[in-house]
Amino acid sequence: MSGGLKRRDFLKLVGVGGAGLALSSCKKETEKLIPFVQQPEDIIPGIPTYYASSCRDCAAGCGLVVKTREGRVIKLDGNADHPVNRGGLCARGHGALQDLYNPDRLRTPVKKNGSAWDKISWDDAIALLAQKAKAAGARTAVLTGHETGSVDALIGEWMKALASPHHLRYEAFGFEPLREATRIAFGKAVVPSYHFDKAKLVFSFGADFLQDWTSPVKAARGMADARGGKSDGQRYVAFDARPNLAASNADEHVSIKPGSDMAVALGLLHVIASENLGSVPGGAPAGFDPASVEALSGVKQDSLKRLAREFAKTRPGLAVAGGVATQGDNATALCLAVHLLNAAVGAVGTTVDLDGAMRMENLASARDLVELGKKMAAKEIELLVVYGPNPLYTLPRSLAFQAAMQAVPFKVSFARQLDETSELCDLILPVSHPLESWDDAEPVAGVRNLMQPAMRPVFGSRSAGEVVFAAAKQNGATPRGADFLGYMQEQWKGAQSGGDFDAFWEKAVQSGGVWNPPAAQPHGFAGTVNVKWAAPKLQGSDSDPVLMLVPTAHMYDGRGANKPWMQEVPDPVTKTMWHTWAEISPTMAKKLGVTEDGDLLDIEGLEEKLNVRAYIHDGLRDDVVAISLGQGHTSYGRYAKDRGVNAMTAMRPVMDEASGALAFMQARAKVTRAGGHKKLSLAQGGSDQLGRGIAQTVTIDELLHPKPAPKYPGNDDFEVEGTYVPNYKKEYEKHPLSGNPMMTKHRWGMAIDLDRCTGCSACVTACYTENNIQIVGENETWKRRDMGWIRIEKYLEHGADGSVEVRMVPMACQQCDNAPCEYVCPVYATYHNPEGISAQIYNRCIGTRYCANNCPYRARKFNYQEPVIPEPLNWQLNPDVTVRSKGVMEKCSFCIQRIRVGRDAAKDEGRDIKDGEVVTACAQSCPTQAIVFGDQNDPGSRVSQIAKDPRGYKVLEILNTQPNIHYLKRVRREAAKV
Amino acid sequence: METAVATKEPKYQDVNPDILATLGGMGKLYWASLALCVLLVIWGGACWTYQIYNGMWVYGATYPAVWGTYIVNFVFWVGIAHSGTLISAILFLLRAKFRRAIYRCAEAMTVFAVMTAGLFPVLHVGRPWFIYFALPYPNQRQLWVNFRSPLVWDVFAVSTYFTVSSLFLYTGLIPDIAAARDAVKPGIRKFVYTLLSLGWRGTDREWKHFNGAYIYLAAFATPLVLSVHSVVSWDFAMSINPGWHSTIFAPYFVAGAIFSGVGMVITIMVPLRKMLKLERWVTIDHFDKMAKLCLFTSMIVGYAYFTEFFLVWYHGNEFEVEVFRNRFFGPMWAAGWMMLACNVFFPILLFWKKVRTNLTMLWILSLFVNVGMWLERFVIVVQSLTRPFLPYVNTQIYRIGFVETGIFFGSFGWFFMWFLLFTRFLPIVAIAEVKEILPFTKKAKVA
Repeated sequence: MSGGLKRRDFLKLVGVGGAGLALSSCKKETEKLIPFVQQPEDIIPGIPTYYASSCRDCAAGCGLVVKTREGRVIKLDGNADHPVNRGGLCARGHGALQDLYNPDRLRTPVKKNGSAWDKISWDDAIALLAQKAKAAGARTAVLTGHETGSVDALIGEWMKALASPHHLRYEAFGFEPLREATRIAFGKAVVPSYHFDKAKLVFSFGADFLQDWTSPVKAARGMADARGGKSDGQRYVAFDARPNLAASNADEHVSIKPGSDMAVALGLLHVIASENLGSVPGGAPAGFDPASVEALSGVKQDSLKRLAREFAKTRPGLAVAGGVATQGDNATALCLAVHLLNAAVGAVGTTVDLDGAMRMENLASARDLVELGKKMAAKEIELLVVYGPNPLYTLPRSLAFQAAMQAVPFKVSFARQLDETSELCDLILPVSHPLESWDDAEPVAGVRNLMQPAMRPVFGSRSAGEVVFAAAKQNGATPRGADFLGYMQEQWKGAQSGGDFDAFWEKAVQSGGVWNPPAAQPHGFAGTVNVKWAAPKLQGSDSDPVLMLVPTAHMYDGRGANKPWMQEVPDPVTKTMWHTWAEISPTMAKKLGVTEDGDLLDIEGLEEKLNVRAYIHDGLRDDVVAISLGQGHTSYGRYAKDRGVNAMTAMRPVMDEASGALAFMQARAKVTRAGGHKKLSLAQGGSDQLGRGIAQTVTIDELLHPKPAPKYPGNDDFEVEGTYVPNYKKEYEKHPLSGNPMMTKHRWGMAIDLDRCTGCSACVTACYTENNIQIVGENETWKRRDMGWIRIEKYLEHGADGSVEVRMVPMACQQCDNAPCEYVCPVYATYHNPEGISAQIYNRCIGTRYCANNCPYRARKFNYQEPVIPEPLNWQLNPDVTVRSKGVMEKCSFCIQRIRVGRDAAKDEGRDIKDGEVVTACAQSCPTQAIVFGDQNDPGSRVSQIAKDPRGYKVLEILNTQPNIHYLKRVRREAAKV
Repeated sequence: METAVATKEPKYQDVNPDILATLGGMGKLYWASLALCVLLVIWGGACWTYQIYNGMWVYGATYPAVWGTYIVNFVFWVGIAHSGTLISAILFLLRAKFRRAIYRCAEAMTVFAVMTAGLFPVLHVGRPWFIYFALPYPNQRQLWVNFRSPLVWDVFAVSTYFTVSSLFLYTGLIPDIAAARDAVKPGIRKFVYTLLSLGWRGTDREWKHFNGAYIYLAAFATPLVLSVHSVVSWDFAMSINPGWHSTIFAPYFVAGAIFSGVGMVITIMVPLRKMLKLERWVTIDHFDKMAKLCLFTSMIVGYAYFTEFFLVWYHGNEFEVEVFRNRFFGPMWAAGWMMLACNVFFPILLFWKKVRTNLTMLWILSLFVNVGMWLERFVIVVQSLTRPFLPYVNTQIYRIGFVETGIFFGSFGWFFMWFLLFTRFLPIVAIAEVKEILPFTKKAKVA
């Protein structure tokens, strides 16, 4: 955007002078289209090209299908064939696009010159790196993130050539305790793969497996498949002090004292052992009889016994633990206790998979990193190369890693954006994004992902592999192959089971890898239970609440912070945006005098006092205060910088001694009301659905013996005999268009299964990416002007016993047959199209906003401002969808552009659209397949089938809007009577 | 003092010079007021410019209450516009004599209030440069307006009302303009008066036609008093929002409009009478009658409030119950209670004649009426929207930004600017009609 008064703005100013009505020329400047002089062979303008790839945002390693248009990546979808995600993709996965097109990406390598950065060429930069490495030799250290593929092997060769032993792979959330516990219990230091789809009963101890724990998309899909409206579906019990996303989805949320997870697990074991319900290795743990556990955790003895019996009898079962938020200095003991539970019911080998385990065994622990830091501080390291992790952001400041880094004479970073760590480096080689480069990974044993460049690098960057290959060569290493691609192919030759390699390679590239995970084998408990079962040590006075540091779905360990989608899509649990928050219970809020979300709190307990905006979390225990992680960057780009606080750097350097992991649960906090109030953007207004039947549930009993449900929940007085068909619906059916064959050809509809939906918000992000939805920023989200076309509404149901049940319901335009928004538009900017979609014509809209007022679902959004899309974020925009200017309404269109593509394809082939051929972005992205889209006129379509489900209902049916989204009630699986 | 002036019997021959004197030299107060108004208009225009340049984010209306104070102001000004036609047309047909001294003022107020109200839809929409899309004009693209939308009805209702009330005002003015024409010295003013008076000579034939036309227009304007605000109320009643979707809206809005209109007439007349030295023509008796009208409409409004609440309690529709609970016990409770106090409780004082004839008290009360009626629209428009069908999107507080405030005051500036200009150029009291009700002078009797 250039400064000064532009023609358009000038015209607007003139318009104010009274001539405004006459000015119809206020249009966007026409952009020139530059045709290809020599058209690339495989690119047809207007036709997308798809490439298989895989996601590198977390350790899960989901498969991707990358959609490109005219040589640019515009959309990521899950790879339906991939064994990890099976077609789904989480919000962070979509966010990779904004990493690729981040406006803060470095354009060229830069070298530090005092406080300024000098641009240098790639060749010079690599030569400089190689020269420094040569000089440092064995004193070279490489710190990468979770790398399991060729780059990792290549770095190994490079290090071998330099004779350096310092090659560390580090993740802030590396699940060290889980690995260590698995090693103790079963002799393998791996993060097991958990097969939620096979489990009949799941117990979780603070592991938010739908959000940040091990492999969220896989867990969500597995869980949904095991539930999915079945009357004998999986039951899930969460033991947690804070209702995180997974616990929000629990059938039974057992609220336990923070830090008592291990005690509860041992208590369950105690009951199982003493009642001889299973073979508990090491027998009943001493000191954890139900009475003691009740004192430690607050779980009633009866409940504990009931749950233990249920767990022992319902097989296969699954128990999971090891979430970051509950990672105290006894984390390994907690994970071990939970492994004992799994072993006791024979889950290892069925639901707990040690053979097809996640390949995280090579990850260093936080302690290893601290050791490296000590060497750096002692000047034993002369060259540090960082590729991936951001230790200055994720490590406690008191570990003095910054000083350690400063002691290293030359530091090189491969970061694409200047983050806290790379800012301290001397040379930055901004390597390509995984979507721009050749790369590979093996997230799960036997699952080898292959990534190919889906587009030319945005800024002419080079891939990490190429850089390391060149540097290694210059340092005397002799990697096979002519270049990195060649090297990678050499690596892959091992994965081939014979035959022609080129064909194998081509197939692997096309499908995104080779996936042959080994079958799970039963493993018995191999270790000895020689652990001191101690509760986590918490600093601070016992009367103070426990401080939990919780990772969030979108920020993860902070890497999401510079992606505007990740900032603006509301957090699935709290519905907050753009900031750090401190969760306190309503009781505590009252005690502290906090009346409103956003009131400032002083939180003492860590090494530094934190000043955080309060979020009153209904359902949180009174003895917990939780601070979200991932914000508070001092660098990392325009969207991340100076936003919120970073609790990770404020932590005490407390470790779980057994595994060397940082203890995130380490202190009790003194919470005081600091003066003042700051804005905290919240997408949520009310949390009580006031009996309006928006998110409905059904018990197993009702599911098995369906009764005619009250048609208008909460409005018994309105009950009428028979089917209520108001007069004007009859009129509507007489409407000339209703008999029109155009009208009856397709009638698009959607079904949303609330028994599958977890509220993860992947659909929301997918919608942002597909439909060019603008990001409005913190100030505007605070005014509730976020533009998402679909949102996850969260409602709370308060039980008589003080329990809080969370209900999530995705809400988008219901494409009502009798749409209240349509008749109120004075200019026909919205109308009902012949296929049942309530269409919006942006060009015709004058922005009266009457439609938004009259939509009972409040699904319509108004563009309060011109979208601000800094280069090159605009490269991501979907060319099939208009970018809306300020002053017009917009809303969900059922991805009408995709329907059009489907129709065109069908027409070209002279056939009808097949069911499943046209999928909306939200349905495509949904990790649990909760959303199904299709043609309701086709009786065989999935949506038609699902709509007939007895669990089906429509939201606000009483208004007779005749929505085309069918909801399926969530099934409440209450405690079995044992 | 007031009574002393009022008892001084005006004479027939005093009418022309007295009233035409208002067109003459205006004091410093006048110029200061006019300057203030013009400044306010400029400031409001600047605010609008700012809004167009930046987009609607500067506006306070936030999701889900995407209608805000612009709509409140629109309804408020349309409401103000009502008493004018009521006083000039309906009371004319009912032969209520007290209207004669004040109707010109009320009618001018009507025209200017509609002119003010008409600005707000333009200010409100997201793309004002395309506002003409809402007019059914022939075009090659065969685009047409949606006649099912109450907003289109609004376009017609308000523009019809503006046309008819301007014509009515002008028609009534013709004999008076002629009187002014005869009184001023030759010059531009005389030339303009000559043009505007359409060659009026005051012959019997002319009076006959004039009276016929006037009655015809009065009869034509009368249903408009009811229809315009009914249509405006249907902007709300035709939607399905809880708090809006109610059949009581049309009569309720019309009564409210007359109430607010009469309030505004009092607010304007009291200082204007002083400024233009019209004490002899606009008497305490006139104010007494106006106050009674005010009291009457206040009671209708109070009854409408009661009925609304009664119905909600009676049918127990949960969506409505929540909206009405929110009106008085929600986060914006103050607006609800102030509305009740200003519109229902304070006007009770008008039962006492002492209050009705005490201009200071009456004027203060009329201000409360204006505030109360503005708040009523705020409560209906904004507060209802903050409690939609899905509680997830509830909002708490409506925050008014500087742009809206600027435009709000700008609209007052705009209104009073026209009004002040009117008082300077055209007679604010109907000369001909006042003469009709004066007692015959002795000389006349002898003749």
